[in-house]
Order: sequence, then structure tokens, then C-alpha cells
Amino acid sequence: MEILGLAIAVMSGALAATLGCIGSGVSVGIVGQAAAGATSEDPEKFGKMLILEVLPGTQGMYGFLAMFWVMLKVGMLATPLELTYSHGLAIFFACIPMMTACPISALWQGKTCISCIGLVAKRPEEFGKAMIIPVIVETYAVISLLVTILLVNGIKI
Amino acid sequence: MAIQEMEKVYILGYEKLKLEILGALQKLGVVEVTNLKQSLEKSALANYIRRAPEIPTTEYDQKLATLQYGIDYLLPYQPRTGFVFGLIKSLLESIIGAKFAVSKKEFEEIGKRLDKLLELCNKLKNFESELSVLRSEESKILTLKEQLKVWKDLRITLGEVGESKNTFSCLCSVASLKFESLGREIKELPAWAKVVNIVSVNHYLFVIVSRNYKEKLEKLFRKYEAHIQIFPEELKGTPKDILKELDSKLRKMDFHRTKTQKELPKLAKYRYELLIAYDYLLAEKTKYSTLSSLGRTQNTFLLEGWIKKSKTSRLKEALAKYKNAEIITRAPLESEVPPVTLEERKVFRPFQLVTNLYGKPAYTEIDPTPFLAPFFLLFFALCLTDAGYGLVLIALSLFLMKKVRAGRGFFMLMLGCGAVTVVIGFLTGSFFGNLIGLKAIWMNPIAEPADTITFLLFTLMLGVIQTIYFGPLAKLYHNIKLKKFKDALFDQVFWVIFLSSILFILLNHLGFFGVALRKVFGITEIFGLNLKALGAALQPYMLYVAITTGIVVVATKGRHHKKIGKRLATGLASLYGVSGYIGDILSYSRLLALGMTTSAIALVVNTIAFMFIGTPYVGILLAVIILIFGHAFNLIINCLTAFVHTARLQFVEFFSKFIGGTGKGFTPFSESKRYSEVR
Repeated sequence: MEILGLAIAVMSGALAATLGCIGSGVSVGIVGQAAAGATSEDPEKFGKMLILEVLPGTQGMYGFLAMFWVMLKVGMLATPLELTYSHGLAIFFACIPMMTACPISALWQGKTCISCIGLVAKRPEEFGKAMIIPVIVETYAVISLLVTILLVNGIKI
Repeated sequence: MAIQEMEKVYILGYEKLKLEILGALQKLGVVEVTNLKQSLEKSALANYIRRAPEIPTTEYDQKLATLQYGIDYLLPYQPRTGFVFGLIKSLLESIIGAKFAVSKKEFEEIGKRLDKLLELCNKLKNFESELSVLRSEESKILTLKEQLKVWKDLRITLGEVGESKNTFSCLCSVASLKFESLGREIKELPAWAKVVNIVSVNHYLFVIVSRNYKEKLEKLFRKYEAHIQIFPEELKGTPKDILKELDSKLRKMDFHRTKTQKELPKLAKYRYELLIAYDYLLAEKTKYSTLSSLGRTQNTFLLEGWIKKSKTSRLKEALAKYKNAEIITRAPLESEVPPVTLEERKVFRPFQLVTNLYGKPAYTEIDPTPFLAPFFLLFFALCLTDAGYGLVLIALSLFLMKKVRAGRGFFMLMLGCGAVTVVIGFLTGSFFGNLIGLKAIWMNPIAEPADTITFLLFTLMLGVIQTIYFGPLAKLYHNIKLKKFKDALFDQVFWVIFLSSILFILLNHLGFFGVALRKVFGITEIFGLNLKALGAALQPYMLYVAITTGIVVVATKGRHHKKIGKRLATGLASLYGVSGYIGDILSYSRLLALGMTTSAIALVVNTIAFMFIGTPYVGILLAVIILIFGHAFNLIINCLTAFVHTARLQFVEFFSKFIGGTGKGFTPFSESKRYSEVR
């Protein structure tokens, strides 16, 4: 059962990172499509489009951070600690917010960014507002990251 | 440093001086012209004043479009400044919106060259259409050449192929596999065929047959899927000759094209003038389109607008030479909403960039820029938390300030953020991650899990300070300035005391009182009194304070309403606002999350780089490359998120406590330029 505990912990870290990256990758991709279209009409707006494209990318990093936190907890950077099955499961449950809320918020942030690209294309002077709107969506990715970190923190191994 | 006081201004003058005065106003750029239409509708003056007619700007639009065509067309012919540097420069310029400098004289002189420049652009348009015609001709010729190439050994002329009095001849191609059988069947007819060429899997034949057998031949062709090659009527010579002709035609076209294209780099030097001309025309267009905002009688015109009170004397000076023009100014009426323009002390000016992202506060509100300044710097630093990155930001901003003319405010902001980041970086022991094993002076949320919670508490404390204290403080300051003491007392003072007492009770009840101060700053005593004991002692009194201030708040929040029922309802509803504060304060925990992401990625970059150090010969080189690119990537991404999230915290949680942001910006009538700036 000890090996299984470590395995489950690794799985939860991996899933947290992977799903976060999938969410970010997909949403940055769809925003990139809109950005390419907008740039084709007016190449001068490229810089602004680039910034809007990068915005949904943070969820991947949050997933990475969650995985990192799990690794720190389990001691994988030095010598892994002895984990029982229940420890592994606890870590898995702690990572659930990152596995679910993060990619979905990334996807929706991407959709928001696409609308904001439309906003900037029509009114380039309102770029600031266009940057702030998608960030509100990211609040929930940040909350899920914090939930995961606090929960993982609280697990005693 | 604040929202500038505005005055309503009216300018009355003779009709024939209209354009001159408008020109002077445009150069001065201090008056925002309002459209007289709205005022006339409500005024008695409508009986005497008509609105000036709309002047169509299509001619200007056409000219501007022509100039724009020239500007875009000549862009690739400008001398390059190195690919990468040019790319970065254009990226930066598109974000900052940089313009190049132009002297006043140059700008005024360009008006005389306008016609020549427009002619140049039309010439460019003709070039382009000539070139595209050439291109399509060329491709037609090339296709023909391909078709003719296979027939080049044919010794008769194309003119001779076809129907004559007694014969029918044609050129055909057939798959080599079917050639034998086709050949046999052709021999049975009174026909003669000769193989002209064999290319890959096809045989190319010349077939001549008695005219009566034309249909039979065609049927035969269909049976063996042979294709008849038909060439355009006008080609008369042998394929060889025709090919020679076509080649010489192509050479001529090429020559013509190269000659035309050689001209273009020479013309590229006019692009600079085209840009200035564009701005000149744009200013003219703006001037003419403003004419429709004026009112007029038979011999006079009336202009209505807004002006900053401080600039009124300048306006009077500039128009002094028009002896018969009358300038009248007055303070804005209660019902009017003047446009808003902000001016800051030099130290706060970089932060105007952030406020501009949000929008202008209403004319009756307060300028939020000085309030957000310290918080913005601190929060940005907490999100970036790395001394090394801070140093890079400082270096970058100093470098860019020297190299790039415009965007000075932006670079000052970068400099400030970098400086505070260095401080916070040292406090949290982070220098390019754990590159040099710096020990945290204060606490390091990544290295020690216990510090994570402490850092979280610190961010929540910041949230409390900004939302509960600073927000209302700003409003309080504003109300006192406006001498609205009653509002200040009831809306701010009692509300803050009420919130504080509730916070106190809550913390005490959960046993957290003083915990934050103890863990974050290591303070257990204030003025020699143990915090925990202090909390316990004050607890019962706080309850009374909470209840009393709560009653005052409920009673006074609705004091604007007449009916007592509505008053109470509003008061009670305001209590609900307390729950909003919970969300607001928790929002500040994102500072922890963002700070940790930076450190975590830096750590990983370092770990990966060090993994490669062992490799023989190239180890150190690889490690250095990974470090440079990894940290650069981390820096860029985290700067972006730090900026955006910090701005968001200011706008959503802080600004909402004391302004509404519904102001309309002040847009003075001026020579609004797109490409250049008069310096």
C-alpha cells in the first residue's frame, strides 16, 4: 500500500499540471486564432493582441505550481517520504480543485479574451479595459490554486 | 494634483473670421468644442441662431486614403534597422503609441507640398496596377510556354494545323500505354501520324487525315482517351519560333518591372513627408468637421466649449488680435457635467497610466491616482517577489528611457516597480529563484510551508488596510475638502468604526486577534500591553461599540430619503455591504499565489539548468543558456500577470470604495496627429 500512496500522490500532481496546461493550451490557441484574424486586418495592433493572447496562459502555471507543492510535500525533490494509501488519497482530493476548476476557468477566460480582442479591434484606445475584463475570470483559478495549496499544506505526513 | 476645474467658454466672432479663429484654437488646443445642437434645443437663443451646416468631409477622406496608400506601399522600401531590433521596437511602439518628432516649420510648410505628394501617391497606385497587369500577363505566357514546350520539334507551323480544303490535321497526346493500339487503328484510316515527342507517360502525335474521316478520327481519340491540343488562333509560327518570341516578351516584361521597382527605393525617402502630410490633412479635416458644431447668424458665429480654468488667460491672449471677437467664460451650472482631466504632481504622473486604464472619475469625485500609487508598487512587488527580476526591470527601464523617446511615464513606472521588487525580493530571499541561496530576511513562502500561511495573513492584512481603511479614508479626505462634514461623519467615520469593531469581535472570537501581527511582524505587544490580553479586555466594550455604531449607520445611511420606511430599509440594506468586504479581502490572497508562481518557476529553471552542468564540455554553456531563456520567459509572463492583477485589485476592490469612474475625458480641439508630434 505504501507504493500506491506515492503513486496516487504523483498522479494527482501530474493531473493537476496536465489539466491546467490543457486548459491553458486550448484557450491560448483559440485566442491566438482571433488574434491572427485581428492582426491581418490591422498589423499595428499586434502588440496588444499578443498581450491578450498570453492572458489565459497563467492557469497552466498554476497547475505547475500545484504539482510543485505536492512534490515539496511528498519530498520528491530529495528523498520521497513514506506515504500510506490514505495520504495519497488525501493529496488527490486536495488537488481536485486544480484538476477541475482551473482548466474550465482557463477555457472561459480564453473566450472572454476573444471578445476583448473584438473590443480592441473596434476601439484600440480602450485596451486597458480589455485587459482587465478577462482577469476577473482568473479570480477563480487563483482561488482554486489557493484551496489546493492550503489543503495540501494541511496534510500531515 | 487632482481633477482640474473647468469653465464653460463662449466665443463670439464675425462669420468671415470663423476659419482663422478655429485655426488659432486648434493650434492652441485648450478648448473642447461642444456641439451647439443640444444647448440650442433648450435655449431661447434658438430663435436667433441657426446651426452651421454640416460640411461633408469626403474629399478629405479620399485624400487621406490616398496618402495612407502611399504610406503603406512605401513601408517595405525603407532602410531596415535590423530585423530583431526593428520587431521589438515596433512591438513597443504599438503598445506605447510612439510618434516621431517634427518641427513646427516643417509641419506648416507641408501644406504647400500637398498636391505634389498626392500626385506621388497616385503614381504609386498606377505602378501597382501596372505591376499586377504585368504579373497576370507573365503567368499567361508561362502557361503557354509549358504547353508549347512539348511540341517544339514540330516542323510545321501552328497556322497550318487544323482544317483545310481536303484534310484535317491536329496535335494530340495519348497515354503511352495506349499508343500502340491507337497507332494501329489510325493506320487503318486514310491518315498519317507522326510522333513528335515522348514525355514521361505520354506520346505526343501529329495526325493528319482526310477530311471526311474527321469524325471517325475523333471517335478513335475518344476511345483511347487521347486529347487534342488546341492553341490560340493568333499563334502562327512553328512552336520553336513562338517559344523564342515568348521568351523575348518575358525578358522585356522583366526589364520593365525591374526598372519600375528600381524607382521605388528612391521614392521611399518621401515617406517621411507623406506621414507629415497625413497629419496635416487630418488636422484640416478635424477643423472643417468642427464647423458643424458652431452656431451662426448671418454675420456672426458662436462657439461653445469647455476649457480648463487655468488656461483661460492663454486663450484670451491668443485671440487678442481679433479685436471684435468676444470671449465669455462662466463656471459650470449644477445641471452640466464638465469633462474631466487629471493633472498630477510629477511623482504621481507615471501612475496616471494605470488610472487611464480604468477611466476617468466623475467631475464631482476625487482623483484616485495618488492613492493607488504606493499600493500599486507594493502589490506589484509582492506578485513578482524576486530581487534579480527587480534589478532586470530597473536596468531595462533605464535603457529604454535613453533609447525610446516616447512612453517616459511607462518606463518610470517600470523603474519604480523594479525598485520595490528588489526590496521585497531581498526580504523574501529570492534572487533569480534560489540561484545564490539567499536567506530570507523576513519570510520565504516557497521554502518553508509555515511561511506560506504567514504570507497569506500578510496579504489579507493588506486587503483589510486598503479596503476598510484607505478606501473610506480617501472618501473622507474628499468630503472634508468639500466641507461635507455631515457626510464625512456618518458615511465614513461611523462606518469604519463599525467595520473595525466587527472585525475585532470576529478575530477575538476565533482567537486570531494579534495572530497576524505576531506571525507576520513578530509583534506580541503594543505599548507594553500583550495583544492577546488586550483583545480579551476590550472584547466586551467592542460589542457595545459595534451595536452603537451599527444603529447610527442604519439610521443615517438612508438620510437622503424623505420617508422613514425607506430610510430604514436603506440603512438595513447597507449592513449587507459588510459581507461584500469578505470577498474583497479574500481577493488579496492572489498576491500570495502570484508571488509563489514566480518563485516556483524560477526554482525549476534553476534545477533544470543545474542538471546539465555535469555534461562534459558543453555543460556550463547549456546551463547558462537555460538560465537566460528560462528566467527571461518567467520574467515576461510574471510581469504581465503582476501588472494585470495588481491593476485589477486597485480597480475592483479599491476604487469602488470611493469613486464611480463615470467621467468623460477632456478631448480638446487640437491638431490630433496620428504619426508625428510637433516638438
